[in-house]
Amino acid sequence: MPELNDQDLRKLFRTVGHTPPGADLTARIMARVAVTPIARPLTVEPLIGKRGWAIAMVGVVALLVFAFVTGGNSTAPPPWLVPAAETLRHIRPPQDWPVWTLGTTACALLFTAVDRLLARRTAA
Amino acid sequence: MRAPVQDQEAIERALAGEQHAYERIVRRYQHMVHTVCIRVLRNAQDAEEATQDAFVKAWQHLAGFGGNAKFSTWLYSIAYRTAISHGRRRKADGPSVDDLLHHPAAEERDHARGTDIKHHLDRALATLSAEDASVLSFFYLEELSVEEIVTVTGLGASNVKVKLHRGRKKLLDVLNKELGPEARELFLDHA
Repeated sequence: MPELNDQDLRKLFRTVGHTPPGADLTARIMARVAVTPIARPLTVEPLIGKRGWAIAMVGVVALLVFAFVTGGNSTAPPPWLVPAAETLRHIRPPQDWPVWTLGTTACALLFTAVDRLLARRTAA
Repeated sequence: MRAPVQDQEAIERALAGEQHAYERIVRRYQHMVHTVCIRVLRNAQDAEEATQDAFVKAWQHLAGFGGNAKFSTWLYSIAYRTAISHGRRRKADGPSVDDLLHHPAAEERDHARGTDIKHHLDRALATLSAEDASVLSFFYLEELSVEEIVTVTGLGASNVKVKLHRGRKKLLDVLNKELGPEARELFLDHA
């Protein structure tokens, strides 16, 4: 009589099959399932979307370009920037108003606007 | 490979709130999950508790089943890890084959078959570590590939291959030693 081999082992496992649980196992499982909520995966969306980042990036690039082109002084800007430079000149604060005050005010306004925007999106 | 259509449909209906759909899944897979748990825990009572926990965990995380893998593989993975966790909690080390053999359902089925094949195989599997016995069971009974066993158990591919080789050799040694020539013949006739 030859010894058992790998093929015999496969047949044996198949013949023996699964070990059946107790008859009421399904009912016990379903009783627990009935009082257990399904965990829904959280869908995390970025607070600032792609469009928001794109607008911010365009703004920053525009500012940088403007700063490079004008050189940060009052030399004449290129013709295509004249209208913007004129507008900026008109809204320039009085000479005795420090630049940092203007920057701080702009930042405060910007942060307030972003805060409002994020609060509105979170509430939605 | 995606989940079979009938599984996918049942999962979608269960996610929509139909618990009867999940009951169908439980009925379809409970024998397989219970067998996985018994191979790890070697105790019928602990295995039933682990089976319950595995199905409840699967229910809780059903929304996280992507449908990209086979549902059975996903469920085996939960069952195996739940059973391992139960085993650690209970520190129930060492086989309790007698418990297995005296389980009413097992006795009833063995009696119906009029054979002690299961008795011998369970006894031989009990000489292996729980991990080796589970890997063999996944390979021979559930017919999972090495890659699927890696997914289910979290072991490395080379580790799974070593366990398969070592477990198979030891199991054959035990069975060949334990069974005389006549018993082997009877064994194979039934198989």
